Amino acid sequence: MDELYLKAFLSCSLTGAVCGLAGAFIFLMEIPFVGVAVSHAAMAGGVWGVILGFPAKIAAFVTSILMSAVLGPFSDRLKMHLNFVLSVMFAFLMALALLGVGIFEGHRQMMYSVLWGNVFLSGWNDILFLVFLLTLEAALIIFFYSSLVLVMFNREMAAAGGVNEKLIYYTVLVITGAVVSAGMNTAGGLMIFGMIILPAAAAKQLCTGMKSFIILSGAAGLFGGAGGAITAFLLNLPMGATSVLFMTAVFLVSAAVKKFYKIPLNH
Amino acid sequence: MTGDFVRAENLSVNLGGKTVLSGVNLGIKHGEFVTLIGPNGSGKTTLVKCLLGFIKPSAGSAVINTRRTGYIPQSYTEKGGFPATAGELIKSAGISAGMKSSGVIISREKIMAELKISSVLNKCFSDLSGGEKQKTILAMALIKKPEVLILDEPNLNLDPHAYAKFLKLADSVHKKHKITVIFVTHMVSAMPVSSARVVVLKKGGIYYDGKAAPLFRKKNVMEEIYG
Repeated sequence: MDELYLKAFLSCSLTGAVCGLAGAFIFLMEIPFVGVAVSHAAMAGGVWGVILGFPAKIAAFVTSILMSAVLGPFSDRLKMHLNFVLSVMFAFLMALALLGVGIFEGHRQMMYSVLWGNVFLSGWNDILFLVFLLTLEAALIIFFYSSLVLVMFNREMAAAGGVNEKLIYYTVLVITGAVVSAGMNTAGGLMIFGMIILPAAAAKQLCTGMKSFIILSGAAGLFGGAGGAITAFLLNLPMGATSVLFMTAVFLVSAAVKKFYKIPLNH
Repeated sequence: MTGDFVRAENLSVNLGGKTVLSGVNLGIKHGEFVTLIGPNGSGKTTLVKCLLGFIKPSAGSAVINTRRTGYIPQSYTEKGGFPATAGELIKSAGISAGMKSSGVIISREKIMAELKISSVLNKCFSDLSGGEKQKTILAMALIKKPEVLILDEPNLNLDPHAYAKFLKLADSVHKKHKITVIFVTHMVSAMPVSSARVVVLKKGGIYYDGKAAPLFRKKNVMEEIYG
């Protein structure tokens, strides 16, 4: 396989897996639009980074992380649901990005690449970073599984039980920001939303237990990403959109299985 | 009051410019069963959240002298079907409280048998009935062997029959495990009869603190509490 295709395949598959795992928690926190909001943070960071003389990619990543890091504390301090904080940040950052593009028209191409993504621009460093994120997610889930379950179930009950729920909750949000930012090469800022939510939604159709839900969500993401990449190669289609369509098919199949076979997975 | 297991001293809380609690003094001894009662907005949940450390007081202090606290909030997650079984939730509560996996399994079996919910071990939490959900949450609190159990309006998610059963259960848990119970409700009819002490909160302050019987012998008790 040509190295370019190999990198694109690995990038798409790994993005599917990291998004699938992160998606399980985003699904539990009920913040599906975090993908779109963080990707616009990346866009604003990228555009203004270039304007101020910083590398676009690093500026985009740092902005995504910063946004996801302040999400939780803002939501807690203002006593607003995360979705409202996300909406405010989304509007602010989109306006900031468009302002930058409007002032410096030369950055329009960069905005399009953030919005639509281009998996063929993925380098080995990007792939290694995805592997690092996947390992980080897996470690967090393995070592803090019980605390994660409690925090996702009810933050106050977790806190009363002695769990450092704020640390866990905010860490999940920061990792989500990193996942969205890293996955934008593959799917772009708009499509990443689908790569995050569809695997979790598919897994939810078949699972009644938390372990099976998280594992299946990650597996559905990996399968969707890999399947989407292969389909895109074979039919010469855009990879991000094809992967999301492939994941939609996975979701529909799991919904059909739930409807007709009714076999819940507990463990 | 300094020797009390749970205590609030001159506790005042302002939330959003509004005084919710003002100069509350409350002491609860180890093993007591106390019902906090009062109309909506009287500050019951705020008092409980101050004790748990979720809300910082504007003045005074609120302390529970143990880290082994079980808390059942007014509302817990529904989130369109939380994908965890009752068994997973109870086990997670035990492990996150520092118990070992093997010990948790044994304790879980015992507690589920005591609460008569062994049959829902592998059932998804969102598929359980209201009573089974409430018992699962009680089991999540009990598996940590708490010294204090706080139940905030547990009647809200239950029908009267299930609630009557839950009250009996709360009473037997209090007696068997010898733990301090703080039971919060806004309805006189939802008050556990076994509660030896009643604290009535009204307009952010303590209106009555004593035995239940003298309070309910008053002719205008409803007016006293809600008026």
